[in-house]
Amino acid sequence: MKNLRYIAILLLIAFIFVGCQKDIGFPDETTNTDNTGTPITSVDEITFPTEKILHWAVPDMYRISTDHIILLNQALVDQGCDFSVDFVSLPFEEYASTLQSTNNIDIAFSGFCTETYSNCELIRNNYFRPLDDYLSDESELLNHYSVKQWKSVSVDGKIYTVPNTYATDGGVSFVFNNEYFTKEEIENFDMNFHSIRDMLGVPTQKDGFSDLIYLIDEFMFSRLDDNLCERGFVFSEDSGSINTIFSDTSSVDFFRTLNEFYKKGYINYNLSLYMNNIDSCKKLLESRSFKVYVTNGELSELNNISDSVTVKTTQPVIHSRVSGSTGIAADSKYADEAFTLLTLVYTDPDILKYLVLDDPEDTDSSRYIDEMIIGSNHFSGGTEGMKEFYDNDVKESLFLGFNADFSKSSDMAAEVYKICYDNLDIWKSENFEDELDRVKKLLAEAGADEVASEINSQFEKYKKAE
Amino acid sequence: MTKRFKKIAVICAVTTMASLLSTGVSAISGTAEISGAKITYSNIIYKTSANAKTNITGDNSGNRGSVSVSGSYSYVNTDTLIVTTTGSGDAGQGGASISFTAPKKCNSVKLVSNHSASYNGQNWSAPNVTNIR
Repeated sequence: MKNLRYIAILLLIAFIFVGCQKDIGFPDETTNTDNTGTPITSVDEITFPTEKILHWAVPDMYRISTDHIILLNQALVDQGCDFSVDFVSLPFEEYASTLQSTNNIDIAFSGFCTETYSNCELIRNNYFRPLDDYLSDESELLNHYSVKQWKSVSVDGKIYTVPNTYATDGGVSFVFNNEYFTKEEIENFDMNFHSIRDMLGVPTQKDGFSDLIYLIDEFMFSRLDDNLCERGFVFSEDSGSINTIFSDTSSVDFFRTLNEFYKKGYINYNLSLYMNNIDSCKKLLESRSFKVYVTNGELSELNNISDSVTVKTTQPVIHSRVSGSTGIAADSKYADEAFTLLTLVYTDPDILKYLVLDDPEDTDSSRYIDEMIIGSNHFSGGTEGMKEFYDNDVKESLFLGFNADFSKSSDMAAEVYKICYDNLDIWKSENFEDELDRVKKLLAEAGADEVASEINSQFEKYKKAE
Repeated sequence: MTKRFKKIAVICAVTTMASLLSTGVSAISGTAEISGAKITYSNIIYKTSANAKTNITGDNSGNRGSVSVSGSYSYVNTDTLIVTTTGSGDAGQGGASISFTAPKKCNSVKLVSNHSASYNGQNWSAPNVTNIR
């Protein structure tokens, strides 16, 4: 009898797993990693309600159920559309190449950029149709976004893709422990990282206490000065020029200041610009064992100490961001219908819900991967007030709309990036200036000046053509 | 194992799985056997971290068997939408594991792991176990 009870419990476990797999997106072990270039249609047998079927290319981590495709297409018909949509899943690792060799695509996710690849290459290879003709003043899609958001996806002066609002634009936050600063001191803080120097006072030098906690990973330190950093190159808002992180004045100043703070003992934990400091930082934050905390992104780690700190955040800056956007294939036979579909998906939550929610009737059931690929955070973050936020509160980068083309010097650019990445932590060196000279020599040998010169020349041309 | 302990173990297993499900973890795991030695492997991905493990339980003679695990982890920066892929590997007697953590403002995208084991001259492998958060 007892054995039967155990069997029943084990069956229940199996039932829980099987029953929940679909809802929370558990993949099975046969998750398709086909990289032969053959598109894998998500459904084999669906009776589409219309003759005209659009095909939407997505990377293989996007998952939509057959049921949702059926519901989505019914909703489109109910809205008066004379077309349906199906999804074509392509391997994430070879997304761009497979997309280009796949026929009959009408709408396509443009792919993610990496530190050595830009999806602008697809656009410059004429994969996407320019949307400018569709984006008339009356266009609902045009008016859904701020002009700044549209500019963030423009390439060489034209718009080919729709901005991805899953991406966020936030400033850098300076979090002050109220125990160590007066209101006046905090109010007078000028939002400059280097000015913390005047506020930290005598180093505490006590175990389990760090005067400064810095949690901005890798190259994102450039945001302290509102700058974009791409492939180790800083696009300087101050100088209007582009240089490596080890030549750009504000970046070198940042490394110097961090080096100074480190030597003085203001940083009393294993800080690295690479990553993985979140747990150490959280412990220090939770016990309020810090004076100043510098970070970017959401501040949920402050939930338990919010009454003890004062947060000052810099104004967000919008930079070019074509990665993760979605557009219409240049050779689509159904470009008008594709634009109608994009308009509906991004402006009507009753259509969007079938693409990003596990349960279309539960607005809390969105999966971030699906939202990120479709390109809307309507259900997890909310798009209400988004346009106004960008119009009124977000600063436009000097380089907004410019997309550097590294393809002309791709080998050198890749080597430069590697050197920059490998040396991100030289600020910890006993003799920082010597280390800086060493890295500069490496960069010179790798052709950093040539790459910088090429990119700066591209920017000058871009400005003239604008 | 006493009956009481078995019961506790089952209850713990249910609790763990329920907890995994409620936190939206995506997990793949499996078992295999070579020469009587039991192999377990797993590939788990969370919103901002991931890990993969291979373990082998041999006989009582002290021969534990050798295992390895390697993998690549991709995460996306939610500010730039730039994807970074990083790799890691581990090998050992009895167990091997790798783990990854995404930087702040980044979300997990994918973990691909490769598991292998050897015991008494027999080999086993599970390549390209692919898990998407």
